[in-house]
Amino acid sequence: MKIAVASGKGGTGKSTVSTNLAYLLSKTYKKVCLLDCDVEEPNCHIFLKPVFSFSEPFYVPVPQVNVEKCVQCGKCAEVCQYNALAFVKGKVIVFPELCHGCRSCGLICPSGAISETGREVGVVESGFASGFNFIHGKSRIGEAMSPPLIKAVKKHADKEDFIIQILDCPPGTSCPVIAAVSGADYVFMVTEPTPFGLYDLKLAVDVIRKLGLPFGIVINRAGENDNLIEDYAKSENIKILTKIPDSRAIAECYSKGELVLKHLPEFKKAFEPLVNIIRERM
Amino acid sequence: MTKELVIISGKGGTGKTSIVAAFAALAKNKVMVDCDVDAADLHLILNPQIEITTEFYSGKSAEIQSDICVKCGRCLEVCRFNAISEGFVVDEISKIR
Repeated sequence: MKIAVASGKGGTGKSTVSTNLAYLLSKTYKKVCLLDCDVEEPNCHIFLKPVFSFSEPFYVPVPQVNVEKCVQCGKCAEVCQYNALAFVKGKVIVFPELCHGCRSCGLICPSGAISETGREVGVVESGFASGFNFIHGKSRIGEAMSPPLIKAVKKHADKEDFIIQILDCPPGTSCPVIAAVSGADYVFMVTEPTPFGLYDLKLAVDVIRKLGLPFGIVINRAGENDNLIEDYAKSENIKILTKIPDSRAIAECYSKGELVLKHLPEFKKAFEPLVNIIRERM
Repeated sequence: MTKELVIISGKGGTGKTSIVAAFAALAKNKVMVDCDVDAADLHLILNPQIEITTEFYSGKSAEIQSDICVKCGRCLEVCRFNAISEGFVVDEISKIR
């Protein structure tokens, strides 16, 4: 069972929902794993203080040109859609950071001069924290290509037979989000009752609908303006799964980098509807 | 010379848009640019009047000409992004991106 926690807007509370949900689930279920798929800015480890037992650099394939075999036809540079190869004065120059690893250059090369080598784009780490398994990826600073690392984090989790995987996804609506939510059994869309939360939620809903994944809404920092989200949800026939109240106590807990449910168990009931959704679908 | 100020943050929801909107109120002879193209929100505060809309294209996507295709499966084999399904259909999401 794979549950993705996503949102269009940043800072709506994805990591808060993911970490506390995993914590709550681990009280009932064994083999719960939390995946921090926000590899550009992973934060879950701050709440969890995990002990890592595995750490491995992650590489993406990039071309390597054997000058002796190269017949200087320039086809590799021509076929590359990402300008990762240039053919200048009879020589092929590779720009590894632009490469998407599609291997077209190697396929078109008539003399077999292009092989592949690895380029390190980040690291995958896994371990144990607060009663459950934890995996995250950390992208190298300045790295433009996060989807391969996100996929590596997911692949690492699939090696073990976890009963429940919670995937904390990156914000936005483009490739990294799609890489993270793809294959999920259900998506929790975390939003806040502000015009910004609503606008970005609509964009994210479009993406999740295009992917054909079942989803529901979590209103975080819920309060007086919830109708903003509720009216939209009603008009679109989307279920509001739960509301996490706009509480000073939760904010203080968060600001210290602590799990809410560890210190404020009274908010357990706000997370229980999410546990129930997972239970129903198992 | 134009002075260019960039407002960034690693974490989401820290207040980038709020700061830019505040600058918009303070500065004279200015242009505000929302580069958060994934989930652009600045217009919600500034309520601009849209004068020009231009479609933006980038990159290319594969198209299968089904009348010529012999269904050899080579494209499925070489595509590392799984953008082509077993039924020789180019993935919709891959097309958009």
